[in-house]
Amino acid sequence: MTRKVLLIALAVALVLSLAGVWILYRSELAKQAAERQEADAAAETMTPGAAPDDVTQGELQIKLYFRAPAPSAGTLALLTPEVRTIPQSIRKEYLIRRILDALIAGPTQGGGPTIPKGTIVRQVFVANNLAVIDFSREIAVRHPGGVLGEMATVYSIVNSVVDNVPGVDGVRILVDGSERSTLSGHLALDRSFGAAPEFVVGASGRDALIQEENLE
Amino acid sequence: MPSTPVARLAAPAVHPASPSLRHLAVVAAAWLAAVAVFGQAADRKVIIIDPGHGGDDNGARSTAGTFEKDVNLILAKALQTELSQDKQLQVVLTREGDQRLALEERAIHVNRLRADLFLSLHCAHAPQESSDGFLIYYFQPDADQADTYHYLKTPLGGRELRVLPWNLAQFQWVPASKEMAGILQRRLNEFYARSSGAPLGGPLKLLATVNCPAVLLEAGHLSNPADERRLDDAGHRAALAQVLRQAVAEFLKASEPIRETP
Repeated sequence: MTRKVLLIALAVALVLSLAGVWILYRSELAKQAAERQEADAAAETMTPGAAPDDVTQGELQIKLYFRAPAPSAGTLALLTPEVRTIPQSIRKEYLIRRILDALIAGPTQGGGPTIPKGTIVRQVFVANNLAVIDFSREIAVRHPGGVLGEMATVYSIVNSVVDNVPGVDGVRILVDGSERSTLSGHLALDRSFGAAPEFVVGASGRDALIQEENLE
Repeated sequence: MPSTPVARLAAPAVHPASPSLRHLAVVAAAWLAAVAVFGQAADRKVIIIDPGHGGDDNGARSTAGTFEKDVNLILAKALQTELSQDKQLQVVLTREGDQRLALEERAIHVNRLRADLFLSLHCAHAPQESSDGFLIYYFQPDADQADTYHYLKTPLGGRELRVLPWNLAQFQWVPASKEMAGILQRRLNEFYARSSGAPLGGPLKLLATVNCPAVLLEAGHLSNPADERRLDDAGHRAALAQVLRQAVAEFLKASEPIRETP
C-alpha cells in the first residue's frame, strides 16, 4: 500500500516537473517572440516618412551601388553605380534608412541585387562618424554565398552609405541585434568598414585591395 | 655433473653485468629505425585541405539543388588521395564529414599542426548564370586592417610590440600566399585553356588567422550548370586534383616560403 502511494506521488511529481519545464519553455518562447515583435515595431516606427521626427528638406541625388553585371576576369570591379533621387532627411539615421531601403528594393538599370529579399533594416545609429546598421537575419540566412557575392553585399552597403551621407566615414554591420563573424563564411564582419571605391567598375582596375608595398 | 646443452645455451657468454652484443644490436637497430621514422616525419610537409562550409552551413546552392559544402568535401577527398601519393607530404582535412566547423576552428587546426600550406576549397556563386570558371584568393588587408597592422608594428616609446593579435597572423605570409596563388592560377589556366584571370586579394576572415601560406580556391561556379556538371564528374575531379598536386609540388620545390622579415 505504502509503495503504491509512493509510486503515485513520484508519478505526480514527475508530471508536475515536466509541466513546469514545459510552461517555462513556452513562456521563454513567448518572451523572445515579444522582444522580436518589439524590435520590428521599433523598426516600423523609424520608417522614413512614417516617423514623426523624420523631417525632410527637398530632394537629394544619391549614388547606389549594385552588383556589376559581369565583372571582368581578374578584377574586383564588383559594383556598378545607379543614380537615384530621394527625399533628403535632415537626420542622418533616416537618410541612411532611405538609402538602404532603396538598396534593398533593388536595381532598375541593369545591375544585380546585393541584399537578399526580405531583409529589413532594424535599427540605425551614427556615433563618431561610424554608422551602425542592424539588419534582420535574412541578410545572412538568405545570402546566396560565394566570396564575391559576400563582398558585393558588404561593400554595396558601405559605399552607398559613406558616399552619400556627409559625416559618415565608416559602417559597422550587425545582424539581428548582434555582431556576426561573417555573412556567409568568407568576409570578416566583426569590424567596421570604410568605403572601397576600387570595387566600383571603372574606378581603378586594381586587382587587389591594397598594393604590396602597404605591407612593408 | 656435466652441464646439459640447454644449460650451456642459457649460460651468459660474457659477464652478466655488461650488456650482451645482441642487446646492443637491438638497441642500435631500434634507435636507427626511430631516427629514420621521426627524421622522415620531421621532413614531411604538412598540407591542410579545408573543405569550406559544412553541417547546417550549406554554402552556395546550385539551381539543381547541389550544396557547396558537399562539392567542397568530395573535391577535398580527391585532392587528399592525390597528394597522399607523395610520401613526403602529410595531408590533413579540416573536416572529414558533414559537420559545421567555425572559421576559427579551422585556423586553430592549421596553426596547431604548423602547416606548410593551407588550401581552402570552395565554389563560387554569381547572380548571372553565365559567370563561370574558377577563382583564386589570397589574403590582402583592406585599408583599415593595414592601418591596424602598421599601428601595432610601430615601436611606441622605444618598445616594440612583441605579440600581434592572432587574427593578423597571415600578414607575414602574404608574399608566399600570393606566390602560391600565382602558381595555381597559371596551372589552372593551362588546365582549362584560359588565357586571362589573376588571383584576387581580399580581407577574407579565415585566411587572416592562418599562420602559413594560404590560398582559397573557388573551383567553379555552382550557379553555372556546366561548371556544376564538371564538379559532379569524378574523372574531372581527379584530373583537377592532379593539377592541384602539381601546383603544390611546384610551390614547395620553388624555395622556402617567402616570409616578410618582421
